[in-house]
Amino acid sequence: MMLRILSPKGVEFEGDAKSLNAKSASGEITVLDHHHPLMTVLAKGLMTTEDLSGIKKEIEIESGFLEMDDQNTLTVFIN
Amino acid sequence: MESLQGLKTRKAAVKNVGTITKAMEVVSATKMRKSQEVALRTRPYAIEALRLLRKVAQLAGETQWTRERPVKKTLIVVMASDRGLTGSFNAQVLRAADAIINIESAKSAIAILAVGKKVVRYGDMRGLELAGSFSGFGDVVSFEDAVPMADIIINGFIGGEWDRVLTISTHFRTTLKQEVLAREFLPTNIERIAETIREIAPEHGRFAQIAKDTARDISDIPYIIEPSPQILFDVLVPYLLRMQAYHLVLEANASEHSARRVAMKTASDNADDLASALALSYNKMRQAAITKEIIEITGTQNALENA
Repeated sequence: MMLRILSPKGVEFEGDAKSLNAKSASGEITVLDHHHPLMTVLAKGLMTTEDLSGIKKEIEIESGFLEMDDQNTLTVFIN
Repeated sequence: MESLQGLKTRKAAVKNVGTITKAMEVVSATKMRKSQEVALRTRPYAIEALRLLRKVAQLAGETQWTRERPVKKTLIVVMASDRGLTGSFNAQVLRAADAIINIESAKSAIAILAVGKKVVRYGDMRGLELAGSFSGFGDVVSFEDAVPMADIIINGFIGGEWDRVLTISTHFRTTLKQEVLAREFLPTNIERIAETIREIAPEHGRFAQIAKDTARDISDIPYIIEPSPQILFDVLVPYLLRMQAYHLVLEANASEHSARRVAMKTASDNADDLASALALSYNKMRQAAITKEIIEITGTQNALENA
């Protein structure tokens, strides 16, 4: 899936990714390829992304939003 | 004709002014680079955030944020600078504000939210009600700095102090081109958000495409909304509005520093031209005076020899 991580400071990440794991307001979610369209509020915590070659990256977030659309594009807003 | 001494003083004065404008040019060049960088870096986020806001507005239907209500009072947010010497930057913003206030004051009561000391002075001059004033926004502000301003706008709207919010600010296109835009900030609706996205997005490049995509209808996409639509909207909308306000400040800053840099560059160039023209006429006059003195000396000498 196409992943974009945006913050007020700029584009943090843009490219293909295998999965994204983050803490949401109602628990923890992992978004994989072709996830059902989703909008959710993210909670403070560690967000983990995994790219196509399986390399994991962790990003600390204060708060944010996540949107998965029907075109397999995941947009994450963090600040 | 001007005296030699007077010309000399004038030349020195012009040179001094030139030095000052040159220094200001260098300072604003640095600030310009910085503020442009911040404004442009934030654009992708602002555009995407607006896109999300638009989707949310579409899914939510009518909410307190989108409902049009009878307008008893309009808040006009005017963004200009704290200091002058910015060319026509402040004049342009205030001229636009003037025109809009004249139209709006016929329809409802008006309050202004002043960003920049120049706007405060303008409000005092026109005797307008001041809902709040902010200064010191000219230097790069972080998102947190813009929150108090955004919260006055948002809380006043929700609290019923005003029923409509307009913003007048400068949008940064290029160093040489900035345009004053008036936007309806609240109540927000899908068309207005789409229009704002179109204004922010550059004419060319990748984000130009995004602006075109905004026409898409998304009501048929079965979004799952967590934890619940109500909670999401209540968290998301104020946040995205704050973000929009923050972005307006950044664009205005980039415009201000660009306008100042260009104005100071022109002033320095003019000072240089003027100084060299003055140096030329000073030298000519000095030469003329010397020649005159030599003629007098030789004339006197001839007269003495002939006597």
